[in-house]
Amino acid sequence: MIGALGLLAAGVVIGNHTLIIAPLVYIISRFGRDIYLIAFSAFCIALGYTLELRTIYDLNSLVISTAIVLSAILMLDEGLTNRGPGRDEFILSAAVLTGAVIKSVLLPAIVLATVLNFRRVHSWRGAAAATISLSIVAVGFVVLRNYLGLPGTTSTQVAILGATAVLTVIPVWLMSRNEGIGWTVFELRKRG
Amino acid sequence: MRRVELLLLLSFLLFVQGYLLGNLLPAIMAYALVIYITYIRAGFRPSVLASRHLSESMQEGRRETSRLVVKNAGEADVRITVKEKLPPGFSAETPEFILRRGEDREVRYAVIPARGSYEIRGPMLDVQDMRGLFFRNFEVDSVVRVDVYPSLERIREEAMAEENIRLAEVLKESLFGIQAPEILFLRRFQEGDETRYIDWKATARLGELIVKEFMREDEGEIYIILDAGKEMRKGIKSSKIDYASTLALVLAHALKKHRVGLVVHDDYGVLHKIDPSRSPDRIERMARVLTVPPAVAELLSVKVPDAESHRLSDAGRRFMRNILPLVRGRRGAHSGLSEAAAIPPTGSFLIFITDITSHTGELARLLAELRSRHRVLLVTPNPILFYDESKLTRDKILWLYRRYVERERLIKRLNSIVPTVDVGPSDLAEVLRKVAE
Repeated sequence: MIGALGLLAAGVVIGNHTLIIAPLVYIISRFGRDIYLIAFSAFCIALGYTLELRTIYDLNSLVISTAIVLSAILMLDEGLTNRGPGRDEFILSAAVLTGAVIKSVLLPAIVLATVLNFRRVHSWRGAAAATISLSIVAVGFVVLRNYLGLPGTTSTQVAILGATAVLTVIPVWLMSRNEGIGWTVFELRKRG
Repeated sequence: MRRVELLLLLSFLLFVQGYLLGNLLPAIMAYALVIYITYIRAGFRPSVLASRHLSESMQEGRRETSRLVVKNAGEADVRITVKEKLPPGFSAETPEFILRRGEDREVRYAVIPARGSYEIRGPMLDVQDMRGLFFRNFEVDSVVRVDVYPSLERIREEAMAEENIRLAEVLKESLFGIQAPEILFLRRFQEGDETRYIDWKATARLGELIVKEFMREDEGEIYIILDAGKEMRKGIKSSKIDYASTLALVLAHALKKHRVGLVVHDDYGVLHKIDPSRSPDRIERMARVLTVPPAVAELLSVKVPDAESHRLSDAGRRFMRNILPLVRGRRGAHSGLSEAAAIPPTGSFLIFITDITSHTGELARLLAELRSRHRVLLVTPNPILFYDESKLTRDKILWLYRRYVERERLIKRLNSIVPTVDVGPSDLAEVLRKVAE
């Protein structure tokens, strides 16, 4: 719920109509995980056409983009988990909605909500992998600023992000391939 | 397709979208998705401890409770689905529940067994993360040897199958359907005659419908030989003799167009004899004769281990069985059946109504000898179907089942000699209907 509200607040801040329908996408999660995944996928692709970020070095745009991305991931997780809101969620929801009015509150509230949400997973390996990956990205973009900061390097920045994503995934999958973990099958049916 | 594959595909598409459109936002979204999947996957390390308890003795078709104790020893909440691996014929519920980190719980669910003896292994636990992206299966380490006994209801159903329907079919075939191929004479067609017996050559020659009249094999007499011995008279609420008497009267009435006689015998000799006739009062005469008092006994046929023991020993009983008839001036035990079977003339149709468990050997020998001279049908009331349900316990159901299996073997053996039909109390209506047809 918080993720959907974060997207809604971001949509109000930047005046984007696609973001404002995020709560509707979230409601679809009540009808089943699989149909929700399809709706979420369509929502993300639609966002890519309606919102634009040309360079990572535009901090104002980066802040709002980060808020949007974190809200989307949070909304995805909340929809898949289908966990009802608790007392903490209501407080955080209020803070997030405040971000629609006070822009500087939005990103901190979203980050806090994300951390509190994923804290439940207890994935130290995942946290380590995420930290290392983000560090590589951050260091890379800082070091290569002179080259990547030039106009027309958006695709290069995309490629760097893609490569880092792949490098992040491979070690974790390799470590855990013998643990007997399977992937659940996608099938369109009502939840429960 | 798997859910994770869909998310990875979405990431790929977003990267492609970002690259082609020169837009960093989809790429950041894709990167975040990959980190998300990796984080969740790395954090999914379930550990579940479980034990299952199942009754070793069940009754077929009755809901039994399987008790599963499960503990989440992992680091995160999980969603568990219990999937039983049961033999064919079994059915079970598939409970699904969430188990918090460190929580243990007892789950009860129904299992409906099928008859037989089985070795049932523990169920499979499908443990998923809370997002439904990953799973791991755990097999509960449990092997239970289970014996499933049939329910009395099922025994009744099986006893009433096929062989009971054969009663009327056999009757019909034996009495009404068989016609000797030899034509006795030709006559004019009358209302009610079957068209298949029309002699078309004669019809064409004479210009009117002519039917063939065959020499009927059932011109012979029918004898109902009713066993009124001790085994037939056992019972409190309803003994087999009550049913057998009613059945004999019903058959006599249904066969009213034929010459039907009745011979009632006990273990030692013939008690009553009514010569075959078509007279209207023969049913009343039979009814007057068929007033046989029941022998009071709790159980039918064979003794059970916990029966009261103020009886003679086995040796004593054998001695009395052999001596008593001689003292009474009879030839020996169970001579009543032989004496009764000697009454009908050759070529008669004999319907034996008797309990097959009390003197099986003699009955089998007699039937094998009789079938060369007569047409024979054996009708035997199934004691299991006469059993008082209110007195049923688990041990008695087991005992009944064993008797049922033994009886099935006997029926098969006797069926190889003459047509044998196993009947119960509720077969009467069916018999009436079939005979009336």
